[in-house]
Amino acid sequence: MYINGVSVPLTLLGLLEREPSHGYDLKRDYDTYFGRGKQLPFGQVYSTLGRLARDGKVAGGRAEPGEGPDRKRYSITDAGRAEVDAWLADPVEPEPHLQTILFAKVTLALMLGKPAAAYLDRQRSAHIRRMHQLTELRRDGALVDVLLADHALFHLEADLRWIDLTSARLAELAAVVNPEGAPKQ
Amino acid sequence: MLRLGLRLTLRSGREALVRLVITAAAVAAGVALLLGVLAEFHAFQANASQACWSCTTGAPVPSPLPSHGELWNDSVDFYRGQTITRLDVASLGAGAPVPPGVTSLPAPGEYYASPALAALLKAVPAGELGDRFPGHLAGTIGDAALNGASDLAIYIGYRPAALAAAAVPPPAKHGSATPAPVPGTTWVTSIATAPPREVFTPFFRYAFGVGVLAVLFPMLVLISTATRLAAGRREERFAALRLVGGTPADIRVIASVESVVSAFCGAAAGIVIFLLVRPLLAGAALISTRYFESQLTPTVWGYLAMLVGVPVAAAVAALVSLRRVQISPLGVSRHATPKPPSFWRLATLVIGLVLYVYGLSKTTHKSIGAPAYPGLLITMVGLVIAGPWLTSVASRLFGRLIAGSSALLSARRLAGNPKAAFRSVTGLVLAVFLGTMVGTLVPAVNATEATPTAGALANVLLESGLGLAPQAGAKLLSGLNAIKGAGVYPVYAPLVSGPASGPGAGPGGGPGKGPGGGGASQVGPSVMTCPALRGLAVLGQCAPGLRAVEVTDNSLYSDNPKYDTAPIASASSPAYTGDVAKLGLITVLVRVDSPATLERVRTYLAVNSPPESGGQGSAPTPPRTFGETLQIRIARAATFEKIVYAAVALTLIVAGCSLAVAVGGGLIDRKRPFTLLRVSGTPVGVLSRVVLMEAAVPLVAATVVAAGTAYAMSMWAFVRLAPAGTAIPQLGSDYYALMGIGVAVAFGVISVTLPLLRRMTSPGNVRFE
Amino acid sequence: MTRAHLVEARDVAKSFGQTPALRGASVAIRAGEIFAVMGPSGSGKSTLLHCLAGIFAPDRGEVWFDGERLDTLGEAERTRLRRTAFGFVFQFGQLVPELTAADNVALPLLLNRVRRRVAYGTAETWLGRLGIGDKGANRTGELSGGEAQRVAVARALALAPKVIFADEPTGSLDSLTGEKVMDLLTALAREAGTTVVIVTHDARVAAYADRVVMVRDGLVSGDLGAVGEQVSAAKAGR
Repeated sequence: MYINGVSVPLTLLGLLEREPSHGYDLKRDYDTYFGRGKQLPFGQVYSTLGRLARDGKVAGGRAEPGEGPDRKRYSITDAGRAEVDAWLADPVEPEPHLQTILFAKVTLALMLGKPAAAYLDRQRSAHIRRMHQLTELRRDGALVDVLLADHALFHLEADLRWIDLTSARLAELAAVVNPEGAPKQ
Repeated sequence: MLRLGLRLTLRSGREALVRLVITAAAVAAGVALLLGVLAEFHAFQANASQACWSCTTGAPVPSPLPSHGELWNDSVDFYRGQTITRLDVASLGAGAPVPPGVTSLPAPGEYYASPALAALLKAVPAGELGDRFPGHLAGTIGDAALNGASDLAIYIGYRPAALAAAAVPPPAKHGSATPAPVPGTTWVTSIATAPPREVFTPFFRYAFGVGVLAVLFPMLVLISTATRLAAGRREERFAALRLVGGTPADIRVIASVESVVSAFCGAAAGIVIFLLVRPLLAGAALISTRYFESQLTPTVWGYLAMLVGVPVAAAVAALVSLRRVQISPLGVSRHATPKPPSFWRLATLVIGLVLYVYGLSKTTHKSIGAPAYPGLLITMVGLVIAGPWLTSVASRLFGRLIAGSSALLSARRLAGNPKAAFRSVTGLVLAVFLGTMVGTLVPAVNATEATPTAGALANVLLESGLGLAPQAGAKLLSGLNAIKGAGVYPVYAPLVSGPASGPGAGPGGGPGKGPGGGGASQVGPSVMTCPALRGLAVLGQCAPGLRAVEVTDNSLYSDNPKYDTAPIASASSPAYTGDVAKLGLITVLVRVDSPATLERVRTYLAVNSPPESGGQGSAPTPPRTFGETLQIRIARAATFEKIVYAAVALTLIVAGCSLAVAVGGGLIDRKRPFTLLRVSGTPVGVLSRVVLMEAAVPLVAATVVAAGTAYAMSMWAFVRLAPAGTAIPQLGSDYYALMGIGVAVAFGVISVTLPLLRRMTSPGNVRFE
Repeated sequence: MTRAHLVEARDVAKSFGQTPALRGASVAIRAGEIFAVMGPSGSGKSTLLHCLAGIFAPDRGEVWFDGERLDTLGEAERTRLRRTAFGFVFQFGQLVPELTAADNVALPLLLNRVRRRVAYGTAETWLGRLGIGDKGANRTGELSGGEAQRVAVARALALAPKVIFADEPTGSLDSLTGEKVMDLLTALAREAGTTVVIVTHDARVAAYADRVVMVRDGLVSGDLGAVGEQVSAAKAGR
């Protein structure tokens, strides 16, 4: 499930990795950091969590006595952690919603105390590789291909600019999303 | 590598070529001037070391006359302000020594004359000149005896008997054209060959040295300034060269080539200019009226020195300017503020002064102490070195005292880089220094000549020592009165026959003449008639109603222009009641209305007045006007002053060029920041004032110090070198005028660059490459 | 590091006054490679380039060129390398302002005591290959930015160097002109097998490179890897 290109399951999984949480807390945090004005429907939250539990990435805890499914506490499994790691570390294919995805990844990485700067570097490297390919294409290609390649190159360059700026702001961002500082794992 | 350097120099476009031409032109002017000074010095030296044949002294004429040697009587005569050196000579036997310039002594009734005199004799009526000399022209006197091409000299031959001084030589027959033999004859067996001892020669040598430095230094400064012109561009160029693998040695070669080329062209052009101007220089002789052109040469060494020395100096200047700059291949990307100049910069100046004083303390009247010259040079160098420190101090004061944005900008920039700021005015400061030295020395020389204020007697001839009895006196006076244009004013005194009280001893002292002569001596006070006295009003007035008064005429006979026009009579002078016609004639004053009349009077007196006693071995001076007496004394200094002020003026020109070059170059360097200032709203007037202040502050600060130092130094030199008793000179109006002009020129030059500033920094030019 | 590396920096440190520009940077560049160094301003990337080119010696560390220590060579020797083995293209070209384009291109050859006719012949050839053969007689000030940079490239290539060092070569040019210059530079360099080391902050310029590293705060913080592995492999077969 993707909202603006960002995978909801992975994001929730990442949020869950901080500490075992109720669905309600997860939704609240998601809305705060990633909602961008829109709220994630409760139903989507629980259905996602259910699917993740079925895939073994999440363990649903004992329901606490009282009010129903909201009071169920979920926690992440090792498989889930591995998935989060892999997702964060993997560079994203350059595509229109890249920044949103990157932002999510960087924020989560900071929350989890993972090396966000390294992830950004990897992303940059991937971008440059792509740009290199496009530049090679431009050399011998037909004019139309050249124009398309130019267009893509400019977008890639814009992405790289954002990556640079964000890299420079990591400390600030960390202070906002992870005020307590220490990583949770 | 040299070829590459040449290529870079010559192919670098119009701007570089303009720079080359300007530098070469300035160098040419300096070199021409320098050659002129050297040539003058050479001629002066040649003259000063020429054998002084007229200094020959002899023994009293023995009686009977010996049969070897010669009778020798040399004297001095005047014609229209020119001196005629006259030698009356009679050979006593074979092998008599021959004076220079001729191969044999003139025979009796013959005379040899210098070419100039021979020409004059032909051109001028005999009554004005020719009649003075007995005999006819038999040959010319060669250059060996003369100081210059226009020297007037004559050797007149006599029979021995005619020259032998008798106790009372027979009076000449009046009205005849046979002149009387001149006493003062000596017996000479060898002619002097030593050069004359001139009391001012060391003085002049020193002044020449100063003159050479006056031109050399500003020229070096100009070369160095031009080398650094548009330094920003130069750095760019050298950085690029370094980047592509030019070694620092390559850079040095290329930089020197540029300087050497312009300096060499300038030196060659300067030599050409000098050769063109040389004939004019001949007229500016110091001790005679004209030098021989053959002597007026800087000699081969001088030319070589210019052709070799100046380019070498330029190369050195280029290398020195590179020394501090480490050209890295990346150029100078960030300008660190250089350290402020330290107080130790004054050290060189102090050392120079100490050396100078030490050198002067070892000075005798014969020669100047050796350390004085290097002391002077080091002082000048020290001024240049201390300049930035002075600028830095002055700029701090300036910033504190003056308000306003221009003051702020200029004070900051001066404080930031005082060296560059001072560099543009270095030439002018040196010019002021030398001008001040010269300005004090020249009036010093003049002061010893004591310019009098009275010009009223300038055209009055004084002939004294007549000692004529009343009848003979009246005859002389009538002869004089017959000359058209002469006003005759006689002075009488009672006379008795008998030898004078002492050989040549007159009441005037010095080389003056006494009234006693011709065997008569004065036994009472001198007398003048009141009408005569009225004609010479400046000498005093009679009390009203008197016909004749006694006059105190001693002062008339002193040769010192300061005293000889003092009044000899006043309202309180006692009246003379006797008969003036019964008195002897001792002195006659003749006012002439034209040079021709003057010469006629002189010739008449030469022929008709009795021989005067000048004393043993010293020739009596022929009659001169008061004006001529004065002229002789100051002619020397006047010419010197002329030359030297000309040199200083030209130095100022060189310095002005230097300033223009520096300011212009500075503008080019700062075109960008100034333009940006203007674009952001700074009025151009502010920028103009900034440029002005940046030049004015170092100029004023250093000039004041330079002038003060120079004045102190020349005072010291004066005290040590001048003959004792001469008064301390003050800076004359000439000096202030010249300095004023110099400073005005400086500001004029800067002002000229201001419109350039306006145009260069116009906001429309904001597009930079 | 093997001998296949033409230019190397090992743990190079350099400070200017109190400010450290490099704090232990290491790179290794293979012969024939086009190598880019990226980084923000003030990261020390230009300083790294200058050290690699022997323009100044580092305070610490080693610089190797063609199997020999470069940083211990004397100034004269390093200067000689600059006119025989290294070519330079800087942001503003570093041309001699008052000389013509042909003069500028011939200059390193002339400094190397190459005969005038040969030097100028080579200059004309290279100016032609960069498409500005008709501008040989123009002074630097009369050229546009792109033309001036092309003169700089010609100058760098004319002496058939082993390495070309370029510092922000397109920094003062607009996109199109910059691309033209980069196209020419890389094509001609590849043709001759010249190694190119480019310092830039512009990703599109770095995209021309076979390998890119990042420099941050005086350290080489990431070898972004061989970006054109497939492409290089294909080239090797060419």
